[in-house]
Amino acid sequence: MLKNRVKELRARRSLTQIELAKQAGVTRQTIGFIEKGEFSPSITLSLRLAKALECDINEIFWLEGEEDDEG
Amino acid sequence: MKDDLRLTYPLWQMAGIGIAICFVLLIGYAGSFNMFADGGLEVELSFNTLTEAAAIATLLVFVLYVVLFLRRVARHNREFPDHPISHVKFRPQEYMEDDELFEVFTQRATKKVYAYFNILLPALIAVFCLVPIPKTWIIVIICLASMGQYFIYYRTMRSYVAAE
Repeated sequence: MLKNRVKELRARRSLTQIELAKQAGVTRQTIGFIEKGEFSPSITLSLRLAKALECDINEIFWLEGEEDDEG
Repeated sequence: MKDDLRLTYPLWQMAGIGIAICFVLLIGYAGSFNMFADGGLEVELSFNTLTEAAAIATLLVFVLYVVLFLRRVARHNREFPDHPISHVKFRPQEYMEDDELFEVFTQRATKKVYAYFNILLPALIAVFCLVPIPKTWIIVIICLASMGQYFIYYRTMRSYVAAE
């Protein structure tokens, strides 16, 4: 399962869901569903989110269990 | 999003089919059809007090439905100019594909409708072949099956939008 820290990174940049959605070219609902982990975005959208959040895609998304393996 | 007519469009469709069912039943029971050998068709409608009242009531409900529906479409098109409802499109108006999230929702809803017809159509064919059902009721059953399609679609989309 794909995990993410979109909410955390968005809050760090003081962006609202609407602002992030606008930058990524999607609806606010999409950001909400991604943050809740109920929707896995495509590679294209993931890259757009990474650009909007000004960070590497791996900082935003990772596979469940992957973080433990690395630690 | 909950004010978006594309979400409640299946409910309007169901209401329209409900009115159509009333007309089908009225014509089915008040009408007689004569087929002629040369290919002509004669339809005779004979109303009694009850069916006449039902016909007038159905007609009034139909007019009210059309007026309310057209007003609702106009309001939607004012509020959502990026996703207007068009009466001339062949594409179902209830499809919501604003971005990839809604594309996924729409795919899931249409998948459920596909599964529904995949089971229902062969079952209906079997029933119509085996049971001598009057033509009026065959049309009514098909209309009800169509209502089921919209209900499944609406319920699925609603569950996603309401969950947000």
